[in-house]
Amino acid sequence: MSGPGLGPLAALPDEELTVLDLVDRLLNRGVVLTGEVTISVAGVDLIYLGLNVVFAAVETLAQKEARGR
Amino acid sequence: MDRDDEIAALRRELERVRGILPERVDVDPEGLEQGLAKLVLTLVEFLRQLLERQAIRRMDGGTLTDDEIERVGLALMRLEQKVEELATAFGLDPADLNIGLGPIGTLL
Amino acid sequence: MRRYLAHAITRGGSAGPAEGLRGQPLRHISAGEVGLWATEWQGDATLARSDALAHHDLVAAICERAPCLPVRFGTWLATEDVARRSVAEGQARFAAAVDRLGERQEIAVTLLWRDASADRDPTGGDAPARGADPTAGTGPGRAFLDRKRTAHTAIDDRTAMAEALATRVRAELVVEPSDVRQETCPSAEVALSLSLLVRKDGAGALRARAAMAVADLPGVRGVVSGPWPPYSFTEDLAQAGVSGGS
Repeated sequence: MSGPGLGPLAALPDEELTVLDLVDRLLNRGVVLTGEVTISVAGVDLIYLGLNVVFAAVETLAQKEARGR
Repeated sequence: MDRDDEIAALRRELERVRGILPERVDVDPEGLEQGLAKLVLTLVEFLRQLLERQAIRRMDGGTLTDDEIERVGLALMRLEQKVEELATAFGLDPADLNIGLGPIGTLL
Repeated sequence: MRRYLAHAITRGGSAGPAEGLRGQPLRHISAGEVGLWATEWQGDATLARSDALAHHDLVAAICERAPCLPVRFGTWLATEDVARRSVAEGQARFAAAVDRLGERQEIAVTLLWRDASADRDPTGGDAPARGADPTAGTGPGRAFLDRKRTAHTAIDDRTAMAEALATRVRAELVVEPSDVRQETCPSAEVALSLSLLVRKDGAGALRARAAMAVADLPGVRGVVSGPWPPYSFTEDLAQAGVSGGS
């Protein structure tokens, strides 16, 4: 549950804080696998080798959701 | 404060502000520009806060002249404003960069 | 092109849950000593928060059946071959990690400041610093540094408080340093975030003790969560030969 801008956290019920704690771990912890990852930018396939890259669109979504409280 | 104390103090501060670096960069192609901007601005803000702390310590330790204090303070203030402007220009919330981290900062 | 969304690494190929995320097929891709559980993705690959939580449920289910390592959510692998090679490349250290972490879970302890505004400067950002003498001609540069000194001091005081709370909670719970991951003041509102590694059969008891340990701490509200798969204890596995930090 790191990062500012999440509103008055201390006012949330335990269950919601638990979910925030969990989502924080899901997005930022856990084994990172290396390997080839293909990313398309503007329709062009670019291949990165040996890079620890994780698609993070959902992180933005999670923060936006949390901030909406 | 002798050199060893300086280094120890710097190490403690690096530990303290280390937490503001992002865990990872958003490489969603839709938000690539914004993701990179966030990384760059967070790094700039990281260094700026470190410089700020150093400047305050030097000021309190009496090793800066009044003129130096004024110039350093203005430079860091302008840099903080510039970072906030750039963040906003990229559609980022300055708060995401931990600008002005701390109780006072959150009122800005 | 089919893609695989990785969930967890196990030793060998024990039976797993029936399906992956969004009802899609769950595949087990083996690579020498270890295997990877991943959802074979067929539709639109935009992930939502609900997918993150479903991933957690799946990881928990896999960990229930066999010792496993959670993989970071959002890890896409382009083909089965890429997936196999990614895991094969690290199979020795993954196997060792499964042996070390597989029978363990984590309990999360979070302390939130009760009043995040307790030491706010009521004069705000643009006013002169308290105690500044307007007639002394304090320039804006010095005034800026004076304000920031107050802000940094407040942060440092909070950090010291948080560290004292961490020491107290850890001492009360009698945990080995290697079984703890700690973040002090990770954000303006969170004083402390602890992850405690515990054997599965001791998780319930530790959770109860943690709840008691944080029930009456001064100035903070405590939340205890879990037991969960040991997400926070895998950071040293990203690269071969890199030792783990906390």
